[in-house]
Amino acid sequence: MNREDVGKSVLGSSNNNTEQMDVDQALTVHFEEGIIMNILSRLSVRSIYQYKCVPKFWNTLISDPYFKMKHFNHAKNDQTSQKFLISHLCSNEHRFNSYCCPISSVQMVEDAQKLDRPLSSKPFFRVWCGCDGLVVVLVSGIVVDKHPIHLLWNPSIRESWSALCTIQDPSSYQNIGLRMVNYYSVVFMNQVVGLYCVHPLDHLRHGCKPALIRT
Amino acid sequence: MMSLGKLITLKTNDNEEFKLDKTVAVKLEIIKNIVQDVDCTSNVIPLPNIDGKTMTKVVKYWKKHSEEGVTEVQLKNFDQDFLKMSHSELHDVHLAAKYLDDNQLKEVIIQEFLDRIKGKPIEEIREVFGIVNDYTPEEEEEVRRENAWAFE
Repeated sequence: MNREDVGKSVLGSSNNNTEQMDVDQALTVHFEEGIIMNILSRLSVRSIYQYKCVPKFWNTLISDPYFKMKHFNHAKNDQTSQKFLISHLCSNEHRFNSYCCPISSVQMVEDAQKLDRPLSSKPFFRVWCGCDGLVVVLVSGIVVDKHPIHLLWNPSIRESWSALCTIQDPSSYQNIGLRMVNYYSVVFMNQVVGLYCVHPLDHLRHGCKPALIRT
Repeated sequence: MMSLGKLITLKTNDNEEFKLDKTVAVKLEIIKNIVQDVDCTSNVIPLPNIDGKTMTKVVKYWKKHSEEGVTEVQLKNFDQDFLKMSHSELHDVHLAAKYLDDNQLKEVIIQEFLDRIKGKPIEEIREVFGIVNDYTPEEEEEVRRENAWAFE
């Protein structure tokens, strides 16, 4: 039996629109939840976030942890979902900007897409490390800052959390700037908390409860 | 020997019968399991979840894809033609393929749906899936605002 068959039903209560459906024959098709989930789990994060407003139950479905895991697993195995995350000092603007671009494509530079980075009011921005699409970034208002702001950032959904805990490994500050991450694969990391507890972030697991910051 | 293989009869929920060469039918997990359990070549395998109209399409697909000497190009052209059906018919074939545990056919249909919705505005997505918008304009605006970056 396939995974989609055993998924829990989140649509049960939303399908009682029978009055409306009777009005229009063309609308009587009842798409099975499994197929919708299967289709949505292959789409980009951007598309999925748009499709939250198709009907209400898609929003429920998309926010469901089971769907998030399904999407995550699919993206992890899909080469085209993987992206480079680049942090780049833009000399005209005297600030760091972030970009993402596909790994596989030959036109990488052309395909680079600028990202809204968290706390964009602060010009200095470093990607420290990343795993499964979630990255730790250091943000600061001045060049030399002994106490930059640590954020846990999920670029796919433009959300970040304050990581106020004690990440102390000064050597790592130097060598990061360009890192490959499964950029799109942690789509919903805000929910699947367990997945970001990777080695360099062990402090986080014990240390703090991240507070969500919208970018 | 292939062409002389035993026949298996599949019977849909509206009593339509499809006689299939055993070598074609046992490619399907569900049929294979039934055939293994009992020697039912003389019997009829009921398909309570599938109607004749849908099964006609499924059988057409199977037959083409198990044809001897069929080329990749021919199959590609066949698939293209095969998939020219309404959204709801496509959905029914997917359900049948799922019941019959035919992953290849399922995959083809999912891909077709992905192609049909790719880059389409929300209104057209609703059309494909036969969805009635149950958001009020205010609610929809709210969801769009919350996820504004996705609409840029």
